Amino acid sequence: MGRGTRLRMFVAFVLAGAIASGVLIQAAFGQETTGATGGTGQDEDREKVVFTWGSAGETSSLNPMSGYLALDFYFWMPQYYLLIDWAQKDFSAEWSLATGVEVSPDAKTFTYTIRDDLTWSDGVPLTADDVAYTLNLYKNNNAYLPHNYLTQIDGDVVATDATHIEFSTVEPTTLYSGNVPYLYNYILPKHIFEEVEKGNCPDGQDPCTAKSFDNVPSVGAGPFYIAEAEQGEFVRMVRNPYWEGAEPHIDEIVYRQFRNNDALAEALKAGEIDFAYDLTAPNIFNSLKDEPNIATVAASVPLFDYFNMNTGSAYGPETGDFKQHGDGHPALTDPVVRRAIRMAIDSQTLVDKVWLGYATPGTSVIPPVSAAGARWEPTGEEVISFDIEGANQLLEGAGYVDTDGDGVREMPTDSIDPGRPLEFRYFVRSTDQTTIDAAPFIQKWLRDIGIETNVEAVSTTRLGDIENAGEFDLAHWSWFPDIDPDTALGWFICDARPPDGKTYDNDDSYYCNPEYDQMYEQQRAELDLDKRWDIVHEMQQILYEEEPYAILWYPPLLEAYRTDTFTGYKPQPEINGDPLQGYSGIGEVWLSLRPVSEGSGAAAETRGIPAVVWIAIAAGVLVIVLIVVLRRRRLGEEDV
Amino acid sequence: MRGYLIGKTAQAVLTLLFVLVFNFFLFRVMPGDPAAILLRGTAAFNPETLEQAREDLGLDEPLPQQFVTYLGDTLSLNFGTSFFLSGQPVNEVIAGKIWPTVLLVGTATIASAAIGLVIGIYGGWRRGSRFDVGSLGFTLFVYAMPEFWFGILVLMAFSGGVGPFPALFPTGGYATAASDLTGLGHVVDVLNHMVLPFFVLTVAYLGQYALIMRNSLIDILGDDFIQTARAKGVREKQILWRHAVPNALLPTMTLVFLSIGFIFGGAITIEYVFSWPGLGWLTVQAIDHKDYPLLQALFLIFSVAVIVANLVADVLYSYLDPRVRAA
Amino acid sequence: MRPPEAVGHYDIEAPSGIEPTPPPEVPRSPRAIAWTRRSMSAKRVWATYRKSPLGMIGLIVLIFFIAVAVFAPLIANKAGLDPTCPCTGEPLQPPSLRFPFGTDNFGRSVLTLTVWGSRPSLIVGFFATVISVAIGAVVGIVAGYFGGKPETILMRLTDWFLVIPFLPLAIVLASVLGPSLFVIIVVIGITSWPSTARIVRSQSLSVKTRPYVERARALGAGHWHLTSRHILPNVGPLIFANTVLLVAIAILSETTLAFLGLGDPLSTSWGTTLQQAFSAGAASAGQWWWIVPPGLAIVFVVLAFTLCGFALDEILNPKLRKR
Repeated sequence: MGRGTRLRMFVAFVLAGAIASGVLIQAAFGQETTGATGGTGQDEDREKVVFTWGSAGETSSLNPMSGYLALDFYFWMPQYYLLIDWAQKDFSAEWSLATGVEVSPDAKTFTYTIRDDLTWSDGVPLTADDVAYTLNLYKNNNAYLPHNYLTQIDGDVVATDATHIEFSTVEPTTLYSGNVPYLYNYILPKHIFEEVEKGNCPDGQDPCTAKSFDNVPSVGAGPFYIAEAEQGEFVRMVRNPYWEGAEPHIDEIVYRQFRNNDALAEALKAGEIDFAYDLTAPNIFNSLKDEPNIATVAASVPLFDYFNMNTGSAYGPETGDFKQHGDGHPALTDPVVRRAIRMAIDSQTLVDKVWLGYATPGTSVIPPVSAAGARWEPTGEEVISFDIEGANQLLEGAGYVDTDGDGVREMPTDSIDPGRPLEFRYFVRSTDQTTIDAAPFIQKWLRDIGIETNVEAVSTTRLGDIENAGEFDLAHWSWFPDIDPDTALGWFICDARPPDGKTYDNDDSYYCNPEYDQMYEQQRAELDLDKRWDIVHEMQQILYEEEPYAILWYPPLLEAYRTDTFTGYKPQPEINGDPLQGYSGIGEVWLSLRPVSEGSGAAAETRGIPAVVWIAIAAGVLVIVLIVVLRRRRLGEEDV
Repeated sequence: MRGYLIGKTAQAVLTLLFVLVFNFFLFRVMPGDPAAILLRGTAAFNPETLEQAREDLGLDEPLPQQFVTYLGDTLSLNFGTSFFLSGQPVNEVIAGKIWPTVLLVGTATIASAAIGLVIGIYGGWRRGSRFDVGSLGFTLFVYAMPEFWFGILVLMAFSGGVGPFPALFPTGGYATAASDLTGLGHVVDVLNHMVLPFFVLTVAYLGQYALIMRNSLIDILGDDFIQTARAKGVREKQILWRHAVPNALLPTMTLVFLSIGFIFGGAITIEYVFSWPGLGWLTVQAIDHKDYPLLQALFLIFSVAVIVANLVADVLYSYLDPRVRAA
Repeated sequence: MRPPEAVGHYDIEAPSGIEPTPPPEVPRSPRAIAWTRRSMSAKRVWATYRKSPLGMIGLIVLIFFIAVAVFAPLIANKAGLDPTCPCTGEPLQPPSLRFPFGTDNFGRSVLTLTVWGSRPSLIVGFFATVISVAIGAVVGIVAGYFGGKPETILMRLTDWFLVIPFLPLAIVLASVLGPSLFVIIVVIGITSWPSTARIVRSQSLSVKTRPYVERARALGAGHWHLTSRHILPNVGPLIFANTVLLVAIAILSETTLAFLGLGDPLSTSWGTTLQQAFSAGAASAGQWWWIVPPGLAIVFVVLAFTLCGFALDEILNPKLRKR
């Protein structure tokens, strides 16, 4: 055979071999990834009822010791209990794993009574030992999120008997008194995590630490537990055989992760999933509204977007560790200027343009979704409306006049820096499209009141560095506060200011008001809930009027679901809330979800060309390859 | 030839070492504290947890110390644990994602090379014919278009269904999630998911192969030995397939292997558009989260793949080119 | 991503080749001689170029887009880029008489976006290429001219940079240095010089051995004189052809980086428009008018540069001149 023919045969066989081995590897490898079907002992004749939902986000970890993203919580809700839960209706306190609490007269010692009728999904009973162990585990290991709710506890939590735990705090506090569901700590199985701490992970994972343990499969006390998961792909939860509560109507919960919102929306439309979580683009949300059999909900969540104004990193009082640093514009230390800026921003227009109307214009630092009774809303005279003229008058009257006619006001003659034009650095984040979208509007409005801004897009980390260094004037960011207002209010105390230009801390507007700090301590210790809310309301009013942040809007959680497959959603709060009841311990929604009709809850069908056609195609390709090879061989036989 | 091979292998190893060092410093030089990114904007954001996070991630050691640890670990194939994915070993994370990329990029490379080469051969052979003009226009067009743009249009057409196009294929992913399919059923499921990204990658990259092959063939066809063969009366088909193509194939093959690096780039965007769970998308996410350990490992893998591809190209060349083989 | 090696006879007819003729021995100033020769060469190049239909198509399309970029203010109102402009229409409308390319999510005319988007895209393409070619030419000439140790080191460096996968490296650099047009230009520039360096080096090697260079060296010409007066002009035409191709690749790279969210979000380029369209969900919402025009613009511009580049390469590349 000639060299050319050898070459062609070589190529042909490589091709055929590649295809064949690809198919074989696929079949073999494929079996590994899909793994077991999670034997839950279901009725073999009834078809499995599977609730499938998806989003374009990803989980950071399914282990409450190290997870910190909102999405992670949706996998803890069906399997782990909280001591005190957030009521589905209105986020008020509801006893859950704990049935009551005894508070010592000095409000520094707390004794919780724990239920005794629960069993983990591997048959071990749940006792107060699990509770004490879990809280100590979080606290002593600096578990990212749960740790925060335990910082005031002095020493360890102790299980005094099988149904009681006790702990003491450094200062008297209302937060553990059962008034509010503050301890957002999912209770974990001691018998599993104790072994993990010693280095024995149930699945043989290595290295094995409390934080690196992937918690798949998991052991939960709720109606479901995690049977299998593939990072970035899917999570599958199956029924807990030891669950004694109300019988769920679904057999499995499957979560699918998508890369982008388009794919997510397409999947919902095609019926591949039943529920789409967090469709971040309002445009996509809109396009789903008119689809048959799909309901959309722009749910409220505790989230706010804010316009951060540097109230004085270079001028604030030097208390605690704080040293003046940075170079924020002195005009922003004046509440009048900040008020004028606030008046110049039309939150409603921003909501309409950037969110196509789905967000809520911002007012107080505490979002509408918060612990029942905590939020304060300005009313009547208190409301600061969009008013360009009023803002102009305010600035004019305070001495910020445009002396050189260039359209930009300057600082008054009796100020720290007379004559300096009101030109501010305005930072947006390159990864958050809404900050970029809002910028042209805000820039124009500020120009209308004589303030010039230079907009710059930076990455999230860079902005963090800039804020710590105090080298900014205006910045657009967002916060995800806890349901209990204590956390959010704590972001404005003097001690929370980034101290030295390099270290991180939460008070990124450098707000410092001793009166406010005092009130913060007071509300923490106030045991009478109504009185506490009074103080909390006053604090919000102070912040609303002093404007270290101009709260721009409360973003919506855009969700959509099929109405022809499942029903029984539990929106939290009741009106316009997240149908999957995102803030809960054992969410009621997982017990109430049921197929709309017989067979409507079956697992998703696969799409595409059926197997028969594929086999035909493969055969066809093989035939072509063979023909080509044979023809060449015939040609090659003739010699030159 | 042995000397040639040894020389090329030595070069490859040297390049690999350079890549290792470059890799490390590139990522350490990146500003931004990964611990802060992890926790910023959450209620967990306070100095204590940050310190703890930094310690967990090994960021508190001095730089030279980190480098030594890095070298030792890499050479023992221990790539540490991912920052973002809270303690999962990088090896596991990558192992789970490598096959989809290999599958997609591998098949797309083979297909686009095969189709592109054939188009290039016939175009070059029949220079000036209608086929040539048509295919030239087509290949130039696909050469010029951004592959992700084409990908979005295909997604719109065949997954969402726009106008006359049927919504036939899944919207993304590798297989129907958490399905119970095994064996042939699973293979078919994956094939269905792979059709669109495979199609997009193939079309996007066949352009350059067609152009290279066409040029190479035209070059060869102008050579003396072709004239000689014609004068001797060899049939046209023979001239094409037994004389011209093998000689034209040589430089083309090397270029095909060299361009594998560029296909990886295309894979990144296509994996994004089609939610294909491979290394490309993992890279983008890792960069978003400044996940050093994951990034270092991924970068290393891509570089090694390109180095190996170059080495294979050299070996193939030496085997096929009699001038080198005889040396 | 595209490798720049796909060069050669893209054309349908075999063009007549041209040979560089040595300067006529006429006693005029050396500078004048050199320029006369160069202008004669240029005229010949143009004459040959005009005969290639695809080259001319590329050139015309290119001129069209450059004109669009330059005369943008006359074609589309710049205020139309500002979402607060009262000239915006209803958001996300399909093409109509008033908005021939439809509107985006702010009601801005997609036609305006596409027209004005040509500027950053072309600017980035052009300047990134300038940086890339400058680095590549210097590296190539130094390597080819000096040979020996410097050559080995520089060529090793070039090989290493060729090995490092382009897009991951560009992504890392862009995310490190921040989102701005300047950064994108720099990133593309410093990641794409190796191909130029390679070509320039091999050309320098061959030029170095030409008789007139040897003569000049014998006469005592220094390095600077030799490289700038002899090597560079001979390498120049080849770099030029390669440069045109590199611009095409630079534009594609900017588009890709912008699409991945690494571009300057405050500027309007074709890449950022595509990125905004995609992340706003235009694909699943079926808003094709937002996606197709910027994409087509990219295709045509890149195509134009590619065709011109190939045509020039045909004419100027000594390797292809043998027939």
